[in-house]
Amino acid sequence: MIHLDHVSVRYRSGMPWARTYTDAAREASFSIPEGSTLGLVGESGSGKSTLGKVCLGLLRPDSGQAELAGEPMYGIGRRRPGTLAAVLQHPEWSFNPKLTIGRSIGEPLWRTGITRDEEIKAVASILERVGLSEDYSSRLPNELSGGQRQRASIARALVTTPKFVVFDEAVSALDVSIQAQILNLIKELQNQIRFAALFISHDLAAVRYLAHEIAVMSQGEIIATAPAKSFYSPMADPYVRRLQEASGLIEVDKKEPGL
Amino acid sequence: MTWVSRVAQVLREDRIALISFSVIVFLLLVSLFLPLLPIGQPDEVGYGPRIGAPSWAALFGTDHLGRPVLARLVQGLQMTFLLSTVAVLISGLLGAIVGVATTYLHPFADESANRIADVMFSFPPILLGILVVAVRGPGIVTIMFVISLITFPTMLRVVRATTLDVMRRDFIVVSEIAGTSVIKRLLIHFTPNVAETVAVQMVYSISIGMLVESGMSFLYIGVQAPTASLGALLRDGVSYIAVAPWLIFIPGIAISALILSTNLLGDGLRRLVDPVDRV
Amino acid sequence: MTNNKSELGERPLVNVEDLTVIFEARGNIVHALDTVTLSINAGERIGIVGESGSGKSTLALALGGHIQGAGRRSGGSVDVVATDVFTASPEALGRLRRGHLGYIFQNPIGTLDPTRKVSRQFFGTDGRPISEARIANVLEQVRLDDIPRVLKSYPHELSGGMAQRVAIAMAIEHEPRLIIADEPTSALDASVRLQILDLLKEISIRSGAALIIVSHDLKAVRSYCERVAVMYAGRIVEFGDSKDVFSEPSHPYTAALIRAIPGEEGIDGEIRGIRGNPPLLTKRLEACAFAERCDHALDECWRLRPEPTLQNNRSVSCHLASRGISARAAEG
Repeated sequence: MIHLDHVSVRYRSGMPWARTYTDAAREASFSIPEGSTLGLVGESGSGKSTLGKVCLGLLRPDSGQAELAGEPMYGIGRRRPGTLAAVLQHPEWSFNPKLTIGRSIGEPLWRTGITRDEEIKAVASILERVGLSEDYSSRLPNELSGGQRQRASIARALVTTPKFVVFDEAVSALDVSIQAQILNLIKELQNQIRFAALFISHDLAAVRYLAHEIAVMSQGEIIATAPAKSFYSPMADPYVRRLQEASGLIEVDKKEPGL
Repeated sequence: MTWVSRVAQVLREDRIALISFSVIVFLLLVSLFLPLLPIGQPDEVGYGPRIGAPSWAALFGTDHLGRPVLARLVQGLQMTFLLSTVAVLISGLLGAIVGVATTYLHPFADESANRIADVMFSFPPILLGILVVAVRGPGIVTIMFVISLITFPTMLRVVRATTLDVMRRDFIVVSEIAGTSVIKRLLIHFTPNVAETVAVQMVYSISIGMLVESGMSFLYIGVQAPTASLGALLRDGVSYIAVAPWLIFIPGIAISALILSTNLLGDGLRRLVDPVDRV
Repeated sequence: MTNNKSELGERPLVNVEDLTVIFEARGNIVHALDTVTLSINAGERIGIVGESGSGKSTLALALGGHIQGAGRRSGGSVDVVATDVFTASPEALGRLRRGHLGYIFQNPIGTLDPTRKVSRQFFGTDGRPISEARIANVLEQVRLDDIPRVLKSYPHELSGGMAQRVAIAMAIEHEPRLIIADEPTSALDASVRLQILDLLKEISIRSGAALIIVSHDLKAVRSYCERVAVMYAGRIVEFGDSKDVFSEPSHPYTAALIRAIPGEEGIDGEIRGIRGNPPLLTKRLEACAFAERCDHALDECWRLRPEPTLQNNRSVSCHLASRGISARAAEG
């Protein structure tokens, strides 16, 4: 469903006669089958947000291919509306403060030319699936809590029954008790709707719980890709193992030289 | 809460904004309804004696041509209000549209618009006024043109900053991914979120416009005789400061009150849009 | 739990009694702290754990007498190093803050002045700049490498972890007796977090300063603090030895919080959120604040405020627990 093949992205800066290039991502490759979640874990500057932008069709790779169902990802939002969706990090800015939640959730449907009545029905239906009652439709974003806004974000992402959803730090700003609710909600909805998902996060513990496979990034490169279950025991790669320790997933190995 | 109720809340909480708002409303009402009373015509030469003292017929006395000062003050208020407001509405709207469009649509357009605004902004206003008058000749339309030119770059700047802020928000990214057309996105997502900033900036710009108009009229390149504007009244009264100081005090106080109130009202409204306190 | 005398018979370093703090702005009232009672002895490492709205940050600020503006104390007292922070004179409060307290916050960007190099960020208790030699000394204590380079750098030229170390150095330079760290590692990468927590623990042990770590991360607190206070809706609902609280929570909220944390579940394990939302705290609740989200709420939980009861060195504010039923047992 999703294929990234040796994708590299470089950022250019400086004047045309004195350019500097930074490799944001180097030779990244992974695949995500339908109904499966790939967790993309890395620290700040690892390149995971860059790959996230590529997968959202917002950034064209400088080399390599990024494809969704055989089509290039770049610009896919305009070419195939409704196939791709995103749930992003900041609950404060995830919605237009001047629009009701209902209208915002319905936006991905506008391109499909459905009638206003059908839109209202679709929005009510998806709200229910994410655990929000129908009257949330007429509320404004500032009337919702962080957790409720993330649910509404998920509703907006799924209203077109997309093939692929990118979650970029989608639970990072939430309290632990709410985060757990949302992680379980995503799992449940993926089982029902069977979308492919990329779950980007700096939190290895959350990713390990949610994803089927995990790719670990560091300094622009994917240094390890493995099934999520293997992260329940110490991994071979030392960087990955240190990340597991730092995330509290395995006991710190005191014999290991300092970080 | 609708914007009406939010404005009402600002007025309730901020005493200065309330006073300013009241002053403006008062002067506006005066300029609209006082002419219904028998105060004379602003261009009625010989209505009273030359530089006459206040009387029942002419409550603020008469000027050097015997015209009733109160009537001229009223016309002055009308002119000053009107010219500035219309000019700012035009330049404000234009500045807002150009600002949002260039900032969001293309970095090159954004850079160019920004540079042009910088150039326009660095031009001393009165000099600009003189230049335009030299080309077009003095008059009401010229004044409005000058006010528009002067207030346009500031609006552009302010709108650009707000647009940049809105562009970075997640719901814009989601809108792009959803494939919503650019026009729809500009109308539905950008416009309502930029509108408040535009409205506040317009209030500030109106106060600047009134200052510019008064300055130009005072320098004989603005509103032409016999039409009255607050600046024109100052111009007419300056020569008689020794014998009839009220001829400049009255328009002077009116200009100060108007400009200060408009500015302070802008401050009060800005707090609506730009809340600083968070518990 | 009031441990009013430590083994040595000294009075506690910090004594908070029945503290109630209310914030009021533009007609919105928030009861941020609700009769909080806590005491901390010299040299102890305490964790204060809670989610947003629990009041943990307000409590941390109250210890330094930083409740101002929209916030006011509406009851209780806070005694820190023999100074009552709410009634002390400005000079006494200043002496307390500059001499005995060190604060570390989540984002070093807020603590460090972006317009000055590190060598110019340090000021003594008299308000005058500190010599570079002394700064270098304290930077060594926070285990920074290449100190000459750090001294010449501006805050934005440092990595998050390094900037936080500088902030810690600023907090400990005057050898405080109490270090308060409010979410010291939340803004940092995972790989750096443990190092910073190790550092804080080491500093506390070496200098004898008491350490309070305020955090949402229960696991980190378990590893680095001797005792932990769990806060919910402005109250301390459980207080005791951190490892014991984690393995055998008495309060249903603590138990539910532990169940929600990813990382402890095994393969194919489950993490469970807590249904509902935290209460709005607009007025003092005459009931248990957790009742509506609790799976084991009894009749009285809806009517009576649970008061702290002491059992086996553990303080719990819960009707269920005071009947002797632990939260785990209630799960069946």
